[in-house]
Amino acid sequence: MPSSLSNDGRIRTEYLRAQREYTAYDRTLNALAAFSFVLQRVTEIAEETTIIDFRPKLVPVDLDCDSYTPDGHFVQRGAVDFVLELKASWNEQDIAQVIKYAKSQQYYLPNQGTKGFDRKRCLLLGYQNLPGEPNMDKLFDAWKSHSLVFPLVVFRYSLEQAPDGDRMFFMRSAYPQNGSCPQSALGRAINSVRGFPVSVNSYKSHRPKFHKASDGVIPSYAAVLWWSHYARYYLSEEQKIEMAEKGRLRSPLVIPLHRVPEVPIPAGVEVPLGSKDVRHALEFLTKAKLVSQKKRARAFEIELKEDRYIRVPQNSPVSSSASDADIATKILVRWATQKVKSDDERRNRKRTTKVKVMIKGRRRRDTGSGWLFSKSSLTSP
Amino acid sequence: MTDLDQFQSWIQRKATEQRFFAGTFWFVFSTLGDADLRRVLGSQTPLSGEIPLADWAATVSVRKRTGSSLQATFWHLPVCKDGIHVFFSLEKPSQAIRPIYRLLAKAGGKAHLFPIGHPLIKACVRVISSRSFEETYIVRGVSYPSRPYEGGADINLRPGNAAIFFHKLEDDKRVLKTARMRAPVDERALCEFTVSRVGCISFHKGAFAPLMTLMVGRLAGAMLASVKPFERAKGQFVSFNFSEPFFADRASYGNVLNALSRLPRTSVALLHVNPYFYATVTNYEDGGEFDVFITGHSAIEVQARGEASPASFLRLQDGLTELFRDTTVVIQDKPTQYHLRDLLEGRV
Repeated sequence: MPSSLSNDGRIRTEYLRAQREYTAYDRTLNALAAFSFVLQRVTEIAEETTIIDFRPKLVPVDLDCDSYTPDGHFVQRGAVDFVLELKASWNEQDIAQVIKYAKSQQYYLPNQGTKGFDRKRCLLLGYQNLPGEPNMDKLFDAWKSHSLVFPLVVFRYSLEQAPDGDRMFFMRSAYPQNGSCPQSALGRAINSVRGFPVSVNSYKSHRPKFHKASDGVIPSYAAVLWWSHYARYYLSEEQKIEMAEKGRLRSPLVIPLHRVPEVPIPAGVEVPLGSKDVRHALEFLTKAKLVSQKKRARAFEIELKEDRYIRVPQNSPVSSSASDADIATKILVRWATQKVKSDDERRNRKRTTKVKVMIKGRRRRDTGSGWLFSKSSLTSP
Repeated sequence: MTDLDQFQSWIQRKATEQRFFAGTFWFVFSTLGDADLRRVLGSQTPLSGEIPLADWAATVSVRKRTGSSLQATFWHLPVCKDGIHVFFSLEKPSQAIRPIYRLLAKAGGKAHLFPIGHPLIKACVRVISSRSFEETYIVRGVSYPSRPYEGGADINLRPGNAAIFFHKLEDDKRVLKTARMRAPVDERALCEFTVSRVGCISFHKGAFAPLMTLMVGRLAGAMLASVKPFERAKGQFVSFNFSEPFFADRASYGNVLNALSRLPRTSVALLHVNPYFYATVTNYEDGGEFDVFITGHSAIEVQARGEASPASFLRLQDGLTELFRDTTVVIQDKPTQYHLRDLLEGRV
């Protein structure tokens, strides 16, 4: 059965890819938690810090654009503004993004007003895998060509095992043109040539505050969080009682489209999923065949049919072979399986059907996804 | 004759009159006082005087999908204090379980059934302390394996005396769901009752007064003692410390995940496993949400989100101790404040 073996292999490859992406994203949230800890629990840094914002919005240079959303903005006494952006690895688009952030002259205040950046500014750009020298050259050449007068500081962050406990390690890149932070307590820590670690044990209390980075979340991570944290908020009173009694529902959990943007904020979460993230989560779950789009009803329905309807989000959602796996693993496996299988179906159909049928099929596919959301429904609050 | 005496005589009489009798006592944990609890649960059932001792009652109906409905009346008995409330019902526990969840749902997370875990069930074996453990006979025990892949529920009929029963249960690391016991209360009299993990005790036949004394005395005391450590856990990390370094090998994280997955009516998402363990747990029974971390070799650390009740913590502890026995509970103090020098020298 060579074809089924190759299918298994492809499912595994897809799963591992999704898992790697998921892990990298999780590491970014760990870094944000570590930053949050340092800003609040290291006395000298905490005393200097006047604003800690992990959902900042910068006023765009081009007024027609949406606001810019880096991962953090910290203001310190002595008129220092730090803007933070965290990445997993190098992407060509990073240059344009960093320049955009650097060119912005103001940020939005919580009350919708705006405020200009202070005299000293610093853009902190963190990578899990530091870019190679050619890419660093490109980045800093672009920085120079835009005549930006404040420093761009590139650093590496990594989650490491150490004998005295796991820790997030921050280390400024030794690239010769790399900038240095302005003199402040936080600046001194980042400029340190030996870098600095923050143990998981220290920052763990800050970790649950982050469900995403400010500028978004990858769909698989959003899907897992939605399934395990947010779904319960969409249950009716009857369904809550049913879940309390049995841990599963015998009626479908239907989420009307107009309720998708009404995202609840779970207790203790400071950077929660937004409406766009929830939409991505539901789309990912749709691809994993855990949620179905009911287009006529303009609603999503949790589809699991193990015993008629659903277990939200308890145990299941996958066959018994993975019964000891957790929800996150199950969702990723299920997504990978469906991705490979539905690709197979499409390929087989193409191979065996005539052109006329294919056109019909394509028409069907065209209406199969995406149209549930109008442009207006995509705007997040 | 006091109200309590009247109630005891009444239930004794009922149990003698009916061949199959189940008078069920539901243990509810709530920090609300009697009056506030009564107000939030919306008690509207007039007292007919049928149940002596009861000071208020609530009748709850639940309509099933099949069209039939379940109805149960819960009488509040003012016999406990300090957070434990006792409700009494005359329906079978299987008929009353949905209505009690419906009733407690009205409290908006401020009242929960008190889980009667393994240690508390064991505390019920000796109804009077002068009788030995071996003298209690287990009529029926329902248990399931603590590891999900080791099979389903096991209904054990007439498994023998309590000592043998509990010994075998502990050896096999099985989780006890319900146990019907027949315990001696003096030289001739017996008391037959069922203890259910969900948070209730049903009296069936025999001498009732010693069981009542046990419930409002020793058992209520043990319940309060078991939640005591969690009363100041709000916003803090609770550390379940084990005597052995169970988590030196990261492969052992699978066992923790199994233990958490095994909790009834609970969902678990493992967000991070390498190098440290981070999972989130949601209990649909009481709405408790927890973040669970393992960052050392011999402790599981738990932080509740929002208003998780001490009873909710206890449920989690019960689940973990079924797999990793002998835990001590430590509430961690407020996070330490560090200095820049500590950060730069790697001590944070």
